[in-house]
Amino acid sequence: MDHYVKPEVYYPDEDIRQVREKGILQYRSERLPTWCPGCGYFGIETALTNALSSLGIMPKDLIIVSGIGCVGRYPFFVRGYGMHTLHGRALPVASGAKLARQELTVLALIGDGDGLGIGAGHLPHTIRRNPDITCVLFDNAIYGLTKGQTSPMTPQHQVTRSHPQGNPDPRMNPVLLALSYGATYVARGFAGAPDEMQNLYEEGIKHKGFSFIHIMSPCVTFDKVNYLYENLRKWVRPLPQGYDSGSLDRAFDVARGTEVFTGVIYNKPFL
Amino acid sequence: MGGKGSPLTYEKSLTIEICGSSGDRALAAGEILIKTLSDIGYHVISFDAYPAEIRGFGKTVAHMRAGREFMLSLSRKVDILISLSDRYAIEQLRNLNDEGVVLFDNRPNNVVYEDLPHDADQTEAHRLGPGVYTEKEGWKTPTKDDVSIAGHLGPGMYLYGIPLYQLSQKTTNESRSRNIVVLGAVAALFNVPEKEFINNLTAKLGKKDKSIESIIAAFEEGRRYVIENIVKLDPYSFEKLSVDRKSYRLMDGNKAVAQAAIDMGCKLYAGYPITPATKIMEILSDELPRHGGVVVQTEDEISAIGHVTGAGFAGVRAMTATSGPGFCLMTEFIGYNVMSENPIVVVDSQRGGPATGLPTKTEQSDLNHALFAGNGDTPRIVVAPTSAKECYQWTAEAFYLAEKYQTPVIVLMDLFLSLSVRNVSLDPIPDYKKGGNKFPTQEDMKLYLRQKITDDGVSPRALPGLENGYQAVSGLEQNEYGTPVYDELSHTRMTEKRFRKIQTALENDVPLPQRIGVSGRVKVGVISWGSTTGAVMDALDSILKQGKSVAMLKVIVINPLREKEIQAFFDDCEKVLVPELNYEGQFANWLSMHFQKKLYRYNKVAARPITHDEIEEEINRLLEE
Repeated sequence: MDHYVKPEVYYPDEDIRQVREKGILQYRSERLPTWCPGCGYFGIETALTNALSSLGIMPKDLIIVSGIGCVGRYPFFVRGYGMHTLHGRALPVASGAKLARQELTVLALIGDGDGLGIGAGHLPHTIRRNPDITCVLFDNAIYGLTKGQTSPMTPQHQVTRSHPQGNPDPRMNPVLLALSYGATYVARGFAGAPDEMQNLYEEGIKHKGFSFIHIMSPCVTFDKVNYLYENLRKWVRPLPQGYDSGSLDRAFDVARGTEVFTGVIYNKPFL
Repeated sequence: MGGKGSPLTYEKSLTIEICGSSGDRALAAGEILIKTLSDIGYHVISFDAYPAEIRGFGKTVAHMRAGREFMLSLSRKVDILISLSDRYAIEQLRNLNDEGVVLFDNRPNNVVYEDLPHDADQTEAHRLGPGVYTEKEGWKTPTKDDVSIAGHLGPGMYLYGIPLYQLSQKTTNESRSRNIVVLGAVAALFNVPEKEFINNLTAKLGKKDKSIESIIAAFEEGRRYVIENIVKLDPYSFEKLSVDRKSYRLMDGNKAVAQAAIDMGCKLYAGYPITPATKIMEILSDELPRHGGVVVQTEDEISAIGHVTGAGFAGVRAMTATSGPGFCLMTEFIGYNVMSENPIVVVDSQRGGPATGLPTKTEQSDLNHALFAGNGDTPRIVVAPTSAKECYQWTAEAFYLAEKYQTPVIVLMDLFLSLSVRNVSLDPIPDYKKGGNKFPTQEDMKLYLRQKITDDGVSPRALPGLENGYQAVSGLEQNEYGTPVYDELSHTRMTEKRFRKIQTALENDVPLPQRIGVSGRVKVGVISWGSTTGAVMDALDSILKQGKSVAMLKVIVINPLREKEIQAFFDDCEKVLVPELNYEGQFANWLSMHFQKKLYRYNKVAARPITHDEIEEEINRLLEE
């Protein structure tokens, strides 16, 4: 103990006191996030902790499981029980935790490289088994923590550090993937729209069964062409008025379409 | 019936094989026979062989050994060979004792070979001799499948012919009951009490078969035939022993592991089917839900161990079982659980390797992997039970150790332990072993630190649901506060802590290795691990009776090793023999890393267990050298 000096990556005590008093951010741990300034993940974190606050989920009843990548660091910044697991393996671990303790709220946070690359094999089967966990895909379309290589979400022809001549392969479609395997709650959000994201999280956590939430988020350091705030703001639009999220056909149309709709794309109530 | 055999005069045990083609139901007959022998007071061990590939036919052998004394291994030689298919049984003759007994169907011409090809090579057929009659085809040219075992026996062997097919037809109107008829013949020929036989026939076939009366008639017919027609010449006999084996149950290692999981309150089992560990999942799938647990069949072994990791973190006991190839996939998570100090139990039932290897054959070649799997310095506990009874005891112990020391515990079995059936009586698990987690005290909760550095290396572990026990465990190196750090001091102290708790486990929970045999200085000392230890114990039984200067040390916990006691044993031995079922001598290498002693290695990759007679020969060789 005596050998340790409290590292500098902590909030000053006064800040923590204020945060605690405000109540709403009681899910913040004492550690400062290590993400780059301007990272979209700050917005995701705020929206997620707000959703937990608003649902009244106690930190003691919360398990947050993450994989590897920038998103993997999330459990360190949250007050609750967290597991920072292996690359791509958040979903099996989250499923195991939920099966073991049904009364707990379990979130699985995956990244685009983590959840759609190395760990993609777990996604169809977790959807198939339909555990009551909420899976959030933090998609910044790049490998951020390893400094800018192509991810399964990087668009074709985009130049990255691992593909200086341009990415030869087309990108994945996570919403279509989740729908195809029979996910009963599929939503898409944008890191720049915290209120909408909070709503998606709340609905997802309330949903009985596996919920899949795809969040598009800029990597301000390693992606200078694709997922920029201004690009994403231009691309995303809310689902049209009167959209029926109970219709699988409509959901597939949205997933296959070229337009990037955000909102609850599919929600089949638990019977 | 003439002749009178004295009970089990042939050394101390008899080995019986029932050999047939897949449709002959040789394994079912073997199961009934072994249960009956167990019921009348014999120690039994059985290890069946069946075709690795799934297909309609192929050689199937029910192999069993029964004796008056406790035993843990198989014999190399067979004493009684029962043939339901001469074509395959002829191959088994090479294992028969010079004075062995063969029972065969002496009206083989009437056997209908339904599953064999009829386009046999004519030249080959001509070589085999004149035509034979089969009921289905009438007279036909014989194929290599029409040969009889009768002409292949050695001079000292005993041959009994019984018209199995005819008697089966007579009583059940079908040829498929030949395995039952032959059991009747066995009962009469070797003095096995018929009451226990009939009980077991009813228990095994009564539910499935409506015609249990005709089954029993088939059994009686086989018995009657032998009594009326056969003169017994061989000396072998099983008579009811006056020992009480009520507390004994027939079980294989897989069943023992599953039972331990249930008794230890395991709440989650996740696994992926793999020979030979699949049975553990099948048993638990049936039983665990009744005890409030869940079984998940995952998409792969990575997911299986992932589920177990999550459940372990959430605070319930969880387990997965696999074999070598699956264990390879789990490697990364072994390291993760070492780093995040999470309790998990992994059972690895070894089979022949490497890669897919020999899926249905036994081997002890995963020791290196179990001890060293993982990047970085990854201390873990590895235990290797030596019998079905110990599979139960040490799987239970594995749960306790994993929870108490917050570390992965690997239980190394092998296919032989997994699938060989023995009659065992299980020792109850003491209650205190059903818990073990070091919960944080009130003092700890003033500033809860999941990774707190302690004298014994074990940090207090709060489980989800406890207020202020918040933590983020990780595969990253962390300091006491749980923050990822990369500095020298933290990494050194945390690594030391992870090794220290394994030392604590050694001091508190690893039993002293048991020394068997001559005390004091000996010419040959044997040290082994896993199922081979059983063969060593059986070999020692007979060698010690000859008054030779031999001892053995039984080591179950492979890591951490009880170095002091093993060193003391080595000091007593002129020569140390290390027999094991792998090529490079993995256990001998492991011992060489710890001790200076010259080791005499005895390695086999025989695709079968090492037998007690082989060890005996090797010990004798070293004694004479």
